[in-house]
Amino acid sequence: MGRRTAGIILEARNVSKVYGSGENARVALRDINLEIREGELILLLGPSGCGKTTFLNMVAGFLTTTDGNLECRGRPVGKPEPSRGVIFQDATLFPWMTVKENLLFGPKMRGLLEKNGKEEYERRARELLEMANLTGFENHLPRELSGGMRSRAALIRTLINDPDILLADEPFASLDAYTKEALQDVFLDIWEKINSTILFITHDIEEAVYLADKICVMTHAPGTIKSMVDIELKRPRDRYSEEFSEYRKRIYELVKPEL
Amino acid sequence: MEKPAARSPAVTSRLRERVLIWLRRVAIPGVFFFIWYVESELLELYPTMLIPTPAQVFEVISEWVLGGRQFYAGRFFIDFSGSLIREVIAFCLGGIVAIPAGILSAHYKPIEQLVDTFVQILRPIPRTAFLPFAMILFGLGYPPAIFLISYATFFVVYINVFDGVKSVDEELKRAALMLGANPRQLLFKVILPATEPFVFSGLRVGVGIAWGMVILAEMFATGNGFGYLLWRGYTFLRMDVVVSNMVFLGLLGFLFDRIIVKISQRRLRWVGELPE
Repeated sequence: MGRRTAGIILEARNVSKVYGSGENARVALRDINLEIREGELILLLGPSGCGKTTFLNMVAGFLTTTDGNLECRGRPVGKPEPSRGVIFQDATLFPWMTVKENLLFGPKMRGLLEKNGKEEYERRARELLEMANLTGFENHLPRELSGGMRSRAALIRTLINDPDILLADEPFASLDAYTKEALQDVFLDIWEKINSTILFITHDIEEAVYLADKICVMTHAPGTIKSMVDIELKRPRDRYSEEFSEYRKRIYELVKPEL
Repeated sequence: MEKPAARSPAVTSRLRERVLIWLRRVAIPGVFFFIWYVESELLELYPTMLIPTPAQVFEVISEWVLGGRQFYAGRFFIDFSGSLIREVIAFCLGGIVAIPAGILSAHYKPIEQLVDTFVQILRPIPRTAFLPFAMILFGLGYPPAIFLISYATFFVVYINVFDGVKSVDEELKRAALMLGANPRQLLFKVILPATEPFVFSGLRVGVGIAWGMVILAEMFATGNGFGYLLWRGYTFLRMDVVVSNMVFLGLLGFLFDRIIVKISQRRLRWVGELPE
């Protein structure tokens, strides 16, 4: 694992989230401790309602923490910003913009097109489109793309901003099984090419074992981290190998009591 | 010379389908016109003074346009331009105020608290009930009509735009912020375009309601226009004049609706299938 350095990108110390107050208070997350190092692909796995999306939304800056410390590259997490890129469950492309306009939205809003030159971003856009297999669809509207293409477009729209960490909130959950598998490979491919750090949320055990360096299994109500499992399988992984099944079983045994 | 190839079965069946579509479309209006014709020209269950014949209506229209000795003779252009000017000016005025008002009030809480209560208090009062006040405050002619029509337009458009802004997908806003948009850009580059379909549906309903208000205002507060002549026709028991006005009201109402639909189809290509 030579491509990893020791640098900590994301650090959560005793992070909690309580919804409501007084008698109606509901503890969604309790004492989450998590470290994500540069280049790691961490999967947060748990049944729906366990608070994993809440955690991701706090890292993204969409929600505030109730308690604890959340730091990204040593700075406290604040408002949403391009350095913490999010891929949503639905692709959430801007439906009135073409693929290319969606892709260049971030740099344009940040005034980077004028600052660094439009050609620079045109070139990067071409590279990313190529990487996501979207060459030739630059001028299509989101509604003219398939679900898988929309997901890929959303992914590169976030990557063009060079995020420190990529936060993926069950991005493939609404896709069919074949598209999903193909996208997982595209995702891994891009992760390896650009050496990014990823926090990926899912409830799908197979997806978790296929993608992860490390899986954090969560408990349900309140959400805590139950255990961390390193997945020591070489990539590309074979979903039908014995070791893969063993990991699946092991993870399932951990998740089962939470269902 | 070769004989021209016979039409393929596919082409014939498509042609037949299109003919059928048009037959279905004109069937009920055709039956309606036929009943009108038979009643007025042949049966005369009601005297033609009350239910005029198509020929009478045509005669009124030609004298209205070309001139003659009747009270409506030769004044078509005055009525037409009067109604048109009132509709266009008041509709634009109401819409131009309503769109930013709806957006700002739905987007900024303090503005909502300031404006929305007032709007909600006025809303249940039927817009037609403002006619007497419009005439007391603004007198006769264009001013009360413009007030009444733009007031009605404002409400329909405001409420649609307000709901539109409120229904912009939360994830879309989050995506914009995450990608680096500032609050101003969020409003202008994301919320505004996302609301556009609601703006157009508000304008479409609004243009019809405005047209109705034009007629109401003209019946009582102006000296020309389709509504004015329609009401004069009724008071002189000239139902042929009434029907002539109704014909033009229908035509113009249809035209306004088409204009809005065409513009929205061009602007909203990204939405996909739009209502015809």
